[in-house]
Amino acid sequence: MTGLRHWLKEGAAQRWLAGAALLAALALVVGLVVVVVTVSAGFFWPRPVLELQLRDGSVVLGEEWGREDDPTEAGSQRVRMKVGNRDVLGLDFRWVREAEVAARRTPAAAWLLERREYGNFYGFPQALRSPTGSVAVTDPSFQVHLDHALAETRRLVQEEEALLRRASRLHEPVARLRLRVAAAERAGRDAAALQAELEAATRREQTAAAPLLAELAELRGRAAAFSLLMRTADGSERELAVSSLLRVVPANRMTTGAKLALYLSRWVEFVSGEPRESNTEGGIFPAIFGTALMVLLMTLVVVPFGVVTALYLNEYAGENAFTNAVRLALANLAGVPSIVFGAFGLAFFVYTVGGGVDRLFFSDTLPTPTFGTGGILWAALTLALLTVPVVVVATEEGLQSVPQAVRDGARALGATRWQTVRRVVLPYATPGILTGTILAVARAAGEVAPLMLTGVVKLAPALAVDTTPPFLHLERKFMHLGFHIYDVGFQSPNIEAAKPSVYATVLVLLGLVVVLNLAAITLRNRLRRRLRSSAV
Amino acid sequence: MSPLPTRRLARARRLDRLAALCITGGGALILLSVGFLLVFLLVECLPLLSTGKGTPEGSVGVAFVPLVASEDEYRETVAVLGRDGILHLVRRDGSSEARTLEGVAPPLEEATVDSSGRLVALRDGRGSVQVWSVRLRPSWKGQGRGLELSLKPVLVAPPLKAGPILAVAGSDGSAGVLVATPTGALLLRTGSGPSPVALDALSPAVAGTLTSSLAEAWLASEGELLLFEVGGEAEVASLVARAPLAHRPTALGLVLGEVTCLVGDGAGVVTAWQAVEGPMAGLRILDRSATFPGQGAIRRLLPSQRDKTFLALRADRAELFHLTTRRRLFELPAFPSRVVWASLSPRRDGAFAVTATGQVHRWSLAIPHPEVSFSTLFLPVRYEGFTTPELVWQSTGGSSSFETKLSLVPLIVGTFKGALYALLFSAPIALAAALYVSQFAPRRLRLVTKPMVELMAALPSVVVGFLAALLFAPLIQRHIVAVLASLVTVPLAVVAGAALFSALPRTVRRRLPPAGELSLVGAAAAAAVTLTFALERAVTRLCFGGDFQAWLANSVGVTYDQRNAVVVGFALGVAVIPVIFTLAEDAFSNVPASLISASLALGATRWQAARTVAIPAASPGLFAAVMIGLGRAVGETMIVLMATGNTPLLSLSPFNGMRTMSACIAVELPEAPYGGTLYRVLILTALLLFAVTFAINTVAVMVSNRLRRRFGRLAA
Repeated sequence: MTGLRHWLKEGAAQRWLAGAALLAALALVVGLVVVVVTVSAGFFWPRPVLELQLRDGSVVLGEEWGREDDPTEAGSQRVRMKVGNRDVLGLDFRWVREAEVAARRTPAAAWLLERREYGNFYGFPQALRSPTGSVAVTDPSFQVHLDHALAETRRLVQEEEALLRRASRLHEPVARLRLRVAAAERAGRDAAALQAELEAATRREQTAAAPLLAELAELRGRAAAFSLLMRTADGSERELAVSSLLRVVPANRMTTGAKLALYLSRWVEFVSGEPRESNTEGGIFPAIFGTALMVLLMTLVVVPFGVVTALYLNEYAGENAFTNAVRLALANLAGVPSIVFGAFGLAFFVYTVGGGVDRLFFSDTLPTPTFGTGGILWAALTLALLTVPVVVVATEEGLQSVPQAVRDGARALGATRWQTVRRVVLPYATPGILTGTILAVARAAGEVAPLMLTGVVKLAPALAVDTTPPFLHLERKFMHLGFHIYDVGFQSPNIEAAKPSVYATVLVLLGLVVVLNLAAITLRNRLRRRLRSSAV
Repeated sequence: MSPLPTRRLARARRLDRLAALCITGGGALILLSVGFLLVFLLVECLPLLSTGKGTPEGSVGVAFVPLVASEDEYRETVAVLGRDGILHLVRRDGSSEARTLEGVAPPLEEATVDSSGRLVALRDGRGSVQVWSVRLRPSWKGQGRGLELSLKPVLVAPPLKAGPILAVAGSDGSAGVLVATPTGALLLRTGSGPSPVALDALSPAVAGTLTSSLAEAWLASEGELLLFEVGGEAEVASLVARAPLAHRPTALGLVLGEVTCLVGDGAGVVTAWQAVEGPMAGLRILDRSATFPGQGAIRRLLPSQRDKTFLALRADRAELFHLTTRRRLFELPAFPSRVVWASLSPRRDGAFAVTATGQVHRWSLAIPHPEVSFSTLFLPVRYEGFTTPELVWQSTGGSSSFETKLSLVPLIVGTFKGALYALLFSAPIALAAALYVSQFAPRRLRLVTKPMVELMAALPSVVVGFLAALLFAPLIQRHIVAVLASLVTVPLAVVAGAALFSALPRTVRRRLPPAGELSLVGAAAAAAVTLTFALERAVTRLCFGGDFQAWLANSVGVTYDQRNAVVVGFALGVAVIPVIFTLAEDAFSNVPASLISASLALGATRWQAARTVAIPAASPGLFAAVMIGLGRAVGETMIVLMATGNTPLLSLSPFNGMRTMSACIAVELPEAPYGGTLYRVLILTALLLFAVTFAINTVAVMVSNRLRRRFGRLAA
C-alpha cells in the first residue's frame, strides 16, 4: 500500500494521463485534417467502372462508391453503386448486396460520360452520328471523329452563350424604361410619352433580337446534329447529344498518366467553373469569388479602423478611465458570439440603413428591396465589426515591437507625435498590421453564421462585379465557401451525389485557412524574434 | 545656422493635432460601436414590453335605432342593422347608404352577429328567425378601391315559440342559429341533416355559442357550462361534457381556433374553458384553463379574428384581454354609455361601438405584440390543448389560428446543455495537455504543439460541424458502446502503462528520451482503443442483448438520436480545446521558473512541483481559461446547427438533440417578418446571448483577479 501511495505521489500516472490528454488533443486536429485530405483528395480520382451481374439476371453498371455491413445478412457486405443515368433510372445510387452478385467484371469498353444535366452516364458506346454520317465504335477513326465532334459542339455552345449574353444586353434599355414608366404612374405624372418611348424601345429590341434568335436556333440545330449512341447496362440504347457532354472518360482503359491528367483537370474545373445541378456538381468559382470580394471589402473597412484603434491604445492613450473603457469594449467585442453580430447586421445594416437607402434613392423599385435586403456590402460591414479585435490585437503587438530607442530618437530629432508614428512606428509595425489583416481574412473566410443573416445565398444569379455599369454592385447577394459547405451538405436534394463537391470545398476552405494562418504565424514569429532582440 | 522654417513647423504642429483628434476619435469609435450595438438591439426589442393602446377616432350619428353592426376589413364602413329592418352602411364622414332586407317585417325584435361579422341572425316583427349573410368586399377599379356589399338570406325559419337568439355561426353556404328554449336550446340550421336539433339541458340556456362548422355547441345555463356535439343525422345533440360554474354566466364566446370557450359572468370575471381527454378513453371533461378577474357584469365577449385577443363588453366600459398571456391589455378610452353592440375590426387594428342613441364610435388600436410577456418568455405557460403549463418553443404552425409558443427556456437550457457537455469533454483534456506541455514536456515539444493548437483554433467551425455531423455522428452511432467504453478503458490502460513503466529499472528509464515516453503513452492509449473496438461486438451482445439503442429505449426509456449531445460535445470540444489550452498554457508559463526550480531543488518530483506550486499559482489563469472556453461554447453557432438535431427539446439526456439560442437565431431570423413578434423575440435572444457571454467574461476576469490576489504572492 505504501508502495502504491509512494508511486502515486511520485506522479508517473498523472504524468502519463496528462501526456495522453495532449496526444488526444493533437490526434483530434491531426485526425481531422488527415480525414479531410484523404477523403476529399480521393473523390476526383477516376475509379473503374464495374459491371455486376446479379443472380436475378439484371446487370448493374457503375462506380463503387462505398461499402458497409449488410444489415439483412450477418457476415456479408453491401456495396453502394453509383449507377448514374438519372434521366433513365430516376436514382443515381443504389445498394447491391454482395450475396446477390453472381459475377463482377471491369469491361474495357465501358465509358463514363460527364454531362451538363442529369449527372453522369455509364454505358457502352455504339456509334457517333454527325452531319457527315454515322461512325460505329469499331471503326478505327471513331476516336478522331468523336474528338472533332466534342470540339465542334464546345465551340458552338460557347457561341450560343455569347449570343445569349448579347441578347440580354439588348433588353437593358427596355427594363430601365419600364421602371421609369412605373415610377411616373405611381407619382401620378403623365406617363403617355414615356409609354410611347417604351413601346418604341420594345419594338427596337425585338427587331434587333430577331436575327440573334435566328442565329441561336441555327447554332442549336447544328449542335443537335452531333449525337452519341450509347448502350446501357440493361441493353437499351440511348442517344445523347454531344453538346450535353462535358467529358468522355474511357474509365477502364486509362493509363496512370491519363488518370492523373483527368484528376488535375477535374480540380481545375472545380476551382474555375460554375456550379451545376443545384450545386451538387460543377465548380465553386462564384463561391471563391464571392468570398474573396467580401473579404476584400471587409479589409478595406477593418484595417483602417483597427489600426487607428491600436494606434490610439498604444501611442495616444493615457492611463485614464476612457482608455480602460475602450479596452473593456474591445475585450467584450472579441467575446461576442458571431451570431449576435449577424443579428445586429440584419436589424441595423439591412433593415434600418438599407431600408433608408431604398426609400431615399431606390423608391421606384419598392416594394422590391435593393439595399433593404442582404447583400455583399452589409455582409462585409458586419464581418468588419466582428474582426476588428483581431486586427487591433495583432497591430498592437506590432506597435509594441518597435524599439523604444527608435521612437525616442525620432522625438529627440524634433518630430511631432504624428510624424513619429507615420514615418517611424508604422513602417516598423507593418508586419504586425499584415498579420492582423491575414488573421482577419482567415476568420472571415470561415465565418458563416453572420453571413447567413446578411446576404449569402445558395446560388447567386450574377457576380457582384460584372461588365454592366456601375460594375461593382454592392447590393447583390453572393456565394461563400463556408456557406456552400453548410448548404450543400445539409440542404441538398442529393447528398450522395454532392459528396465529392462538398468534400472538395472543405479541402479548398481548409487549405485557404491553413495557408493564411501559417503565413500569419511565420510573420508573427518573425515579429516576436525582433521584439526579443530589440528589448535588450 | 539657418532659422527653422516656421511655416513648416506650424503645419507639422497642426497636422499633429489633427492626427491626435482623428486617432482618439477612432479609439472612441470602438466604444461607440459596442455601445451602439447594445443600445440598438435593446431598442429593437423594447416594443415587446408594451401592451398596446387604443385611440378614439370620434363618432358619427345616425337617424335610426341600431341593433347590431359589423365592419369591413379596411375600417371604412360600418354596416349597422337598425330596428327598422334596414341595413345602413355608415361611412366615416357620417354619410350612409341604406339597403332593405327583403322579406323581413320591421320592427326587428332582436339580432346578433357571428364572430367573423359576416352572418347576422335576427328575429323580425312576425317572430321569424332569419340568418342573413352580410359581406363587404373590396373591389378595385384601376388604382381606386371601392366596397361591394353582398346581402342575401341564408336561413329563413317560420315563426316559432322560442326564447332569445343565443348565437349564430356558419361558413359559406351553411349557417346555424341557437335559440334558447325552456329546456335548453334549439339549433336551426341549413344544409343536410335535421333542423331544428334540440340541445337538452334541463334548464333554459342563458348564453350559447357555436363553432363555425356547426359541429359543437356550448351552452351556459344558470349554474353550468355544457358542451354538446351535433351529429349529422340525430335530432338531439349529444351532451359531451358539463362543468359547474361559480357565478351566474351572462355571455359566451369562442376564441379564434374554436378550442377555448370564454364564459363571462355577472360578477365581472371571465373564465376560459377547454374540453380535454378525461380519465377514461373516449370521455372528455371541461377544464378551466384561465381566469380573468374584473369588475362589472360582462354583457358580451367578442373575440378577434386575428389572434387570441378578445374584447369584454361591460355596462360602461370595454376591455381587451389576451388568452395566452392571461393578461388585460388595456381599456378602450372614452367609452360611451348605452352601447348596444361593439366589436374588434377584422384586422384587429380598430374597434367600433354602436349606442342606443344612434352614435357610431370608432377607435384605432395599436397592439404590436400581445402574445408575448415576461411570463410567457420565461415561465411555464398553459397553452390551448395542454393540461399543464409547459415550456415550449414552437414559433410557427400550420394555420392562422395557431397559438405561437415562444418560451426562451428550452433555448437557454439547450445552449447550456451543449456548452456543458463540451466543457465536460474539452476542459480536462485541454487543462491536462497544457499542464503536460508546460511542466513535463521538453522545450522542443512546445515548438510542435503551439502551431498545431493554433491550427486547431483556426479551423472553421463549418468544417468541424460538417465532419461531426456527416462523418462522426454515424460512426459514433454504430460504435457507441466502444466510444463510451473508451472513456474508461483508455485512462485505465494509460495508468497501467505508467505502472509498468515505473517498474522498469531506472537505468532503462533514464536512457529513454522524453519524446520516447510520450510515444509509449500513445502506444498504450492506441492499444486500449483498438482492444475496445475489437471487443465491442462481444460486449454489446453480452450486456445489451446485441443492440445498445434498443436496450436504451426499452430499459431506460431514453431514445437515441444520431445527432445528440455526445456528438455536439466532441465537435464543440474541438472548437473549445484550443481556447482553453492557449490560455492555460500562458497561465502556466507565467509561473516564475524560480518557484518550480526551488520546489525541485527541495526534492519534489515534477508532478509534486506541478501540483503544489504550478497549479495553485496558475489557478487564476486556469479558471479564466475555462470560463472563456464556456463563453466560446455558448456562442458557437455552426457546429450546433449541423451536429444537433436542432429540435427544441427540454431534456438533459445526452442522447437527445437540442436547439441553442444561436442556432435558433440563425435559422429563424432571416424568415421572421421585420417588426413582428418573432423578430423581436429573436433580437431579444441575441441580446440575452450577448449578456450571457459578457457575464461569463466578467466573472472570469473578476474571479481570476481575486485568485491572483490570493495566489499572486506565490508568483510575485
